[in-house]
Amino acid sequence: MYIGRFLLLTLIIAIAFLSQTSCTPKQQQFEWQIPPGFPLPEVPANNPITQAKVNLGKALFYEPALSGNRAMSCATCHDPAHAFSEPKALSSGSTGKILQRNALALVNVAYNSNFTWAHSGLSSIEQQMMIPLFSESPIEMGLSGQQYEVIKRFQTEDYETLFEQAWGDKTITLDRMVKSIASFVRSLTSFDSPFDEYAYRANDDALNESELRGLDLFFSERLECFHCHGGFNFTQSSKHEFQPLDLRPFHNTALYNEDGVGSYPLRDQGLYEQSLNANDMGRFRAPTLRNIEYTAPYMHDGSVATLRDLIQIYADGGRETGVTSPIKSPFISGFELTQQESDDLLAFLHSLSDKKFINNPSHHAPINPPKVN
Amino acid sequence: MPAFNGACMLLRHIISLDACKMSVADNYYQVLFIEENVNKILYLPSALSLQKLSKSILIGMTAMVLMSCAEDTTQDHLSKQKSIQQQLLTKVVYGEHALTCDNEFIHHNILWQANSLGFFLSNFEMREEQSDTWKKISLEVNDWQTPDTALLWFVANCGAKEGFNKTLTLNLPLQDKQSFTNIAQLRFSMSVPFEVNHANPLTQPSPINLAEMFWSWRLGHKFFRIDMSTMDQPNKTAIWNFHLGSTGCSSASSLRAPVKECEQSNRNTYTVNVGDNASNLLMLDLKILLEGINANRETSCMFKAEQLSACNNLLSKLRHSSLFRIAAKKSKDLSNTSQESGQ
Repeated sequence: MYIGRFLLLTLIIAIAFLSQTSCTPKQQQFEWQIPPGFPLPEVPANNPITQAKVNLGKALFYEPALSGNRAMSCATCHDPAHAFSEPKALSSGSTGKILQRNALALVNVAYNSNFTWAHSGLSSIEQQMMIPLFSESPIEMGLSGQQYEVIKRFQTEDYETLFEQAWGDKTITLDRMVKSIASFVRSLTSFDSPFDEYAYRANDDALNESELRGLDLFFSERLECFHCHGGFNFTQSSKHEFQPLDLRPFHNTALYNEDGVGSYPLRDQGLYEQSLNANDMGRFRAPTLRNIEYTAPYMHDGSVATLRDLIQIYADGGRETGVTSPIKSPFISGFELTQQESDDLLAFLHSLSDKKFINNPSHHAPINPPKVN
Repeated sequence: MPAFNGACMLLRHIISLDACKMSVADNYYQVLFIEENVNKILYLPSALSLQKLSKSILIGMTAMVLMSCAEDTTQDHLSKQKSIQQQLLTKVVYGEHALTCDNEFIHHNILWQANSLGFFLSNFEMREEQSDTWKKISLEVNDWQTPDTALLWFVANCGAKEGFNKTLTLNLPLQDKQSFTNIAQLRFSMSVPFEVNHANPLTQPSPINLAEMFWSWRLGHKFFRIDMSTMDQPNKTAIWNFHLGSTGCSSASSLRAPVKECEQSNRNTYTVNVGDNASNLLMLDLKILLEGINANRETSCMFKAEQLSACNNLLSKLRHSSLFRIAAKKSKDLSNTSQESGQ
């Protein structure tokens, strides 16, 4: 009887395999660059990822014609040499206006349960992208009111071919553009750091003595780093095929205390701006620490220049008046570090760098970009 | 991957798998399924690498892998027993008062809020009247429960619609006409079993892969976590934390698992009375844990070296037999539940 049941199971799995291989056009397949043992990210049902969409999305990502005045592309603020962040405290929009926040790195974003520095209402990259594309105050990509004009720019033979490969016909819509760029961003996975080699591929020689001492410091209750930078992406904001829960990971970062009761400057008060819940004042999502070496300056407003400065702020229990903030995260309580320990912690943070990811040519701008009008 | 999901759904209906999930990576397919409360993960060569093979060979290979799996589960089938599903609601109280939906409560005349509050329960067993035998209870598998371990998570947000769990779903080994109140006592541990406590969280199912309750491979999971704060005094705040887990664990680094149990496993087992008069409400009493404690940073315990005294004090309180209790029918405990409107 049990043999029969498992034969049936075999048959059904085999049908699933065969349907994947025989019913799906070859160009539709996408091979995740995710090592064995790591879970796959969840992909929205209305935007299954394909290699053709990733190709189209990459072309669009690097194309300045996507902005209203052709002044910037997504890559202007998300530079692959900096793990798709920007080495400026605050980014500028297409009209030159300074934006509110530091550009986040795009590393393993496919796993995010929350997006941007502080927003709990965005559940997908597709939703998040509407902010830079259509924001009017300040203007970022500046598509608002110009989307039809922008679409016309892409009605070229090159792009129509890419759209046909990705979507089955040559029709160019903003929805298809957004979903294609989201697919490209989703494809930016990074799991090839020395840390990964040590932690997940059990190579005891992958980290040196200093990095190992830093690792133990990072995961200690004394420093408490891992409370906010937890999980395999070093941000508690991760979802994947085996983890669908979102436990709303936002933390007050103890950088400011304008009024003695913990208020942040009006220019950016974190999750509070969106939730209007007083408990959310100054709370931000802990960004991934993967490739953190490349993403300076740090924090939501880019106000911390180096990783060593950042370590010192946490060692002090916050920055300036933020130290006495009554609403700072309980895990920013301060600690003492020797110079050697500080060096070790820094060495560990550098071991999270994935040089193959940074140098991966398939992530970089097309050498011969598709023509636009 | 619609084809995968469809195949899994079909499997669950036809042969009563508790869960099934399929995914594809570089060179293999991963098939996760749970049958008879046993997690099984199969790694199969991907279709891409098998395109050169005939379809019949593919089916044959798959059959061989699964047949070997079937042999492993024979004992499970033989020991299969009827079970009755029972939901237990859980509630954190302070003495006679339930925490509000914002996780607020009064301790030593000060209003505190538990910003993070959660605990793992595992190894559920039950004993019937007139019996000395403890029978294993399995848990219904869902996002918050594996077959053996459940995470209860209480979020400090009255408006929360998700991201918390206050319900235990038990599969009680009872006969058809029996019910929860036929049980004399329920026994469980506030912990994560050693066998999974130190494993790579990437290979664990939810909720044992949640970062919020994980220390490291070496130390494993936090079995109990409360981070609470108060702003009862103007412009001043106080915090108190207690993170419980195993300590004295030996391994090469934080990211290597110990091969044997830690010096202090810190697993406590609790026995609660059920019986005819029992409701389906399981309560954890913070008043017992906090009794005599002037809550502040100095009396917190996250097992730092300087917190030894505070931790020992809390560990002794955790051994209090009344830390957990089942509420009686028509008790005040039940009426308190209505305060938690938001969740």
